[in-house]
Amino acid sequence: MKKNNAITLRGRKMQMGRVWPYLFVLPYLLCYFLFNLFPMLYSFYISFFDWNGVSPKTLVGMQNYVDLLTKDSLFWKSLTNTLAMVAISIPVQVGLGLLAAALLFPMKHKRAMESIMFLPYIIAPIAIGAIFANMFDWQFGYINEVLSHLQVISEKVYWLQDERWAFAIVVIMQIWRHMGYCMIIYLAGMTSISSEIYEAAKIDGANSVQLFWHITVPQLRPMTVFLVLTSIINGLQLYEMPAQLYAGSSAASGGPQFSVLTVIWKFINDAFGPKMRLGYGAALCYILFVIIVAFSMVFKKLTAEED
Amino acid sequence: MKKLFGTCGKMIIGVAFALLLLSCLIPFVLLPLMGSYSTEELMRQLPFTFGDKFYENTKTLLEGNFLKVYLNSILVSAGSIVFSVVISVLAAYSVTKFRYKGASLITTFIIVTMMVPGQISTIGYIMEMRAMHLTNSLWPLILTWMAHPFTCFFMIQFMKSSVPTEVIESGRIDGASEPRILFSIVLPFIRPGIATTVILLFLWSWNSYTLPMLIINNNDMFTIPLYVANLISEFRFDIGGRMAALTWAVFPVIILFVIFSKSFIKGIASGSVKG
Repeated sequence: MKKNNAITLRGRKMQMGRVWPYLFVLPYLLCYFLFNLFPMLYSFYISFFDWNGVSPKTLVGMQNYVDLLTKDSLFWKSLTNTLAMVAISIPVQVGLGLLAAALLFPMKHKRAMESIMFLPYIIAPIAIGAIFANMFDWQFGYINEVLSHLQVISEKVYWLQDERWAFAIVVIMQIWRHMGYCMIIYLAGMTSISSEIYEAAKIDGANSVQLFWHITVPQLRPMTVFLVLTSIINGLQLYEMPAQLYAGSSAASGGPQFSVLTVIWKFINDAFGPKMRLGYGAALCYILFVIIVAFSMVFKKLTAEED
Repeated sequence: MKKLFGTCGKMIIGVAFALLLLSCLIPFVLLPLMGSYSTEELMRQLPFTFGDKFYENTKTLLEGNFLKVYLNSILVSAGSIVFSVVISVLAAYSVTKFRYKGASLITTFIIVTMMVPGQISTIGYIMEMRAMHLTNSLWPLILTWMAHPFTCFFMIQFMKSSVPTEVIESGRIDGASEPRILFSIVLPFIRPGIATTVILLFLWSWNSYTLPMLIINNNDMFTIPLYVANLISEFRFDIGGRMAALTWAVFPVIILFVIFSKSFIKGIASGSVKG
């Protein structure tokens, strides 16, 4: 009797032992399904309907996708805007990050400078948008104030009301926010390069510029790949900073002549604007998703081939 | 001559770098600087030294519901951090330290879903929250962080690299229960990893704007970014008040960053380089 008890107890314990891993992973899977996967699938389902969230849904099939790709010139405008912003900002932010890292790396007391460079990255994008909106305000902005003091400009410039300037300011914001982040990643990468390679090259008579181009840059390749890929993915989702530049003036949605309208900005306007075209917005997001996946796959392929 | 050129070049680079550093600081000086003036003063003359109206601007904010908003932000961040970290640690422990059929499949699933942009679930999530009658609470802003693939992936990496399997095995031989092993053996090893995820989750949830903007429409449930954005559209010309509010919004992030900057930077770097 006693022995029997012990066996069942042990058996139960063994069984429990097998249950634990499932029990541990269950909350994650459950939450992922409930708050991520299900909403994703539901969005996908909605993308085939014409729906404003209140009145009954009307099935329209692929119409939302077709309209977006063939009729909606503003969607193409937002897409080319976003791609151009990404294409211009990434080389600059990655390059500046690399240069800053190369400069800082040999220094002894770099913690303070490292932290300062990193500050823009930890601040809410909405705060950055508000700060830039203020600095470039034609009437009360510091940029105009300082430039006219220095007599660089004779009359105030309408920075945010000019198509090209507005676009440039968005690109500058993006670069400014991310260069410190790039620097941190590169600094982390530099610590893993062994000093022996440098020593050997120095003995061969390489100068510091040669060391940088022929050792540092190639050795940091994994970091560059990571930075470019994540910057593309994040850049394609750009919205909060540019939108905040024009906060409060609803007429200026997308900036002058929609010159800084991004894909996600367009999504917000379509899906949650006065018309509430939820199906249309969902379709737009899925198109962006396909673009992001395509970019990642092409990029992975390109970098894999070279390796 | 060559040497002279070299020092000149170095000086130019040095000055350029100093300017870059300065540019990173300007906004953080600008916020409290402009926040310390009344809007009328700012319209008359842009200041270059601190004024004395910061307290007054803050008082005006507090007469509104700024305190409630601040508390909301703290609640959302705290809730997101606690749930997300606990859920991620449990999942990461399960897939890295147990051998069962689905373990590697779940790991792959977590890595793949890390790439999915959040927006494709936005509309579905909002509809779901409406159906659950949660849009009048802070829950939607917390639930969205519960199963966060990046946090979980980071914990998996950390669990793999810094928890030796032998100590877990010996714990099991000693007859300790699994929850006990997790809490008293595994937890001490992953404390630095947890610290990093806590900081990252704080940053993300504290700064989050788009989803709250789309879900929350009750003033009493606003978080700081929402409040500030609304301040801009409601009182277009209260520049002083807006800057003071932004100063308070940025303040805790800066403080935390100054205190934890080492693990902050280290965590972000290691998390991404490994990924």
